[in-house]
Amino acid sequence: MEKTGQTTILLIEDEPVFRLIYRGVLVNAGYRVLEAPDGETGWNMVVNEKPDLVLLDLILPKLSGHQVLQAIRAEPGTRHIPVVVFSVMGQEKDVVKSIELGASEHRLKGVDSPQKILNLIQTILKPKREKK
Amino acid sequence: MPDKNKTIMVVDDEALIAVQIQSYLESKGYTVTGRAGSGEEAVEKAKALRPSLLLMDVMLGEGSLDGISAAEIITRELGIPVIFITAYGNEETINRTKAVDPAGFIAKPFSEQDLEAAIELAFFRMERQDQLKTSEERYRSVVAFAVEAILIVDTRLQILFWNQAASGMFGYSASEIEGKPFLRLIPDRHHGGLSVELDRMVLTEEKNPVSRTTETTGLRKDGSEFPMEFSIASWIIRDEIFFTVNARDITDRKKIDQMKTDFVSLVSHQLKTPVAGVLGCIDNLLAEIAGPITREQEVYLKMMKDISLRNYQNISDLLNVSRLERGVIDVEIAPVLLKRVAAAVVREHLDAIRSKGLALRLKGWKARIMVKADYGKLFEAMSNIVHNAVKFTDHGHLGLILSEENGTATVEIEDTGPGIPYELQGTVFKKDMILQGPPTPNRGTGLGLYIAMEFMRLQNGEIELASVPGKGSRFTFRIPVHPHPSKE
Repeated sequence: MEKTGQTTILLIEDEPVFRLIYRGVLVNAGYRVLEAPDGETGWNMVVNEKPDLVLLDLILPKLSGHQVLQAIRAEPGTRHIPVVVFSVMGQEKDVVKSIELGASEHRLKGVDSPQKILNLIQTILKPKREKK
Repeated sequence: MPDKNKTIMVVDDEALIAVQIQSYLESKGYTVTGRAGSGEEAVEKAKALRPSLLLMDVMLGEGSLDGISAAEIITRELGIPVIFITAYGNEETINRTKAVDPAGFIAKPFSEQDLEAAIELAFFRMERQDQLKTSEERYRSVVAFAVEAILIVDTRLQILFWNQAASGMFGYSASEIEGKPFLRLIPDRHHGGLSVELDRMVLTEEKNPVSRTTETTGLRKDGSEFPMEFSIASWIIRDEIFFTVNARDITDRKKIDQMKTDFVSLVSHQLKTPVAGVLGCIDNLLAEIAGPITREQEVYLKMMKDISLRNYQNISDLLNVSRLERGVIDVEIAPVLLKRVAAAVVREHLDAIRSKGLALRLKGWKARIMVKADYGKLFEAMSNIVHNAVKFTDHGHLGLILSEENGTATVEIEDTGPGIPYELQGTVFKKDMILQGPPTPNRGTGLGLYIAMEFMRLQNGEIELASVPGKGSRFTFRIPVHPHPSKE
């Protein structure tokens, strides 16, 4: 696996339309984007690809977003990876649970524009880039 | 006119007297079915002829059965009431006749009027008893066949009565549970809260027989539990208070409630996802990620975005109303910095405020006012009001004024929009606003103000409206202050 120095973001999302939207925004901003359509594939890609950030939907086939998040936080090799949860589930308890499980941020799809989510990702990744 | 269906039998060992009585009664229109001269004969004939009433001489010379013994058999076995006729007014005789519970008592010598009065009184009492019996039967069957468990308890909450449905619900037979405490039907862990509730019910019920309903858990004989609802009503008989407890197994209702909750969140997810997808696509097009767009295309896309955002908001409104109605909304009260919420609300609407060219007036933002609030709910309530203010105000300003006085924090949101007609000011916070006025593409669900008010109430706050048509509106939010050590 060649590392071009490009920052890699893994998008775990079952809805093709959201993969299209976020791939567009992220690629446009210069990131390398990996995509997984379900929780299980996503978790395997987290382990194998060690992305710099995971953008994670909550409602997913096979493994739910919260399960994937738990797995990432439980595994020493992936524990440090920032995870941004984005969901249409806007209930406080979903947000609180994401944060409790170790998400960096929880954002709402539809309310927060892709541009806002991009800004957020850039803020999270910034200190890391400066170190490099 | 005497009822022909009511028949009388005359029992006297003196045949002449019996005949006299019979002919007198017949002359008055009564039907006499037969006569008897001895106790044995009276019992035998009563069994065969089934009269409605017996006139019984106490002293019967012939045979071993006297009038009282014969009457006892006839009353007990046939249920036929008896009027005693006797010359002997001694105490022992009277006491023996009382044991038979006679329908009347005529002392010799008696007049024809005495006889007639005693018979009429006896018939009247029979009718009354029949009515009582029918009405009691009716109540008994209502209770017996009721689907609800019905219990009667005394003031010490001991079970005095228990119907068939209660046996089915709790698994005890009536004989097993009658005399036992009502609390045996509820798990121990609920006794504390429940006894307070019961005391309250018992104390208030004394003066007010309207029943109250409470939800708890029921405990069956086999130790299993089920969600239960019960109501208690009190009634008083001869200065003693009793309570009727109606208990219902609400397992099914709980299941349906859960299904409704699941259904609403499923539907809202299904409705929101496509709208969010469309919004994301529009955003990307506007950001020219898929290539440059023309000015004109941008106008179309912005229109599509507005509609999609409104659509998204409408779904959220309906979901919120559904949650409010079912009381399944989570509220977490914590210390919140008021200006932080206000700033987030302003930021949310900043683009719209700027594009409409409205001036923004912020006052009282220097003070660090902490409030006891649910951040998300306070944000949403204020955001709904600011959203309307921006939407309806085309020129002038939007103001957000924060202040604190006597433990209450205030946020005034004022605009220089068209104002709200006086006749509507009393109803803007009501849910039925949706029904008023014609639907226009520019209108939302009309639920925003209702949701804002309900959200504030959940945080012990409120919203007050002051509006002058043609000049503008001011919505005043009040919320309890969180006491904090003075800083900076």
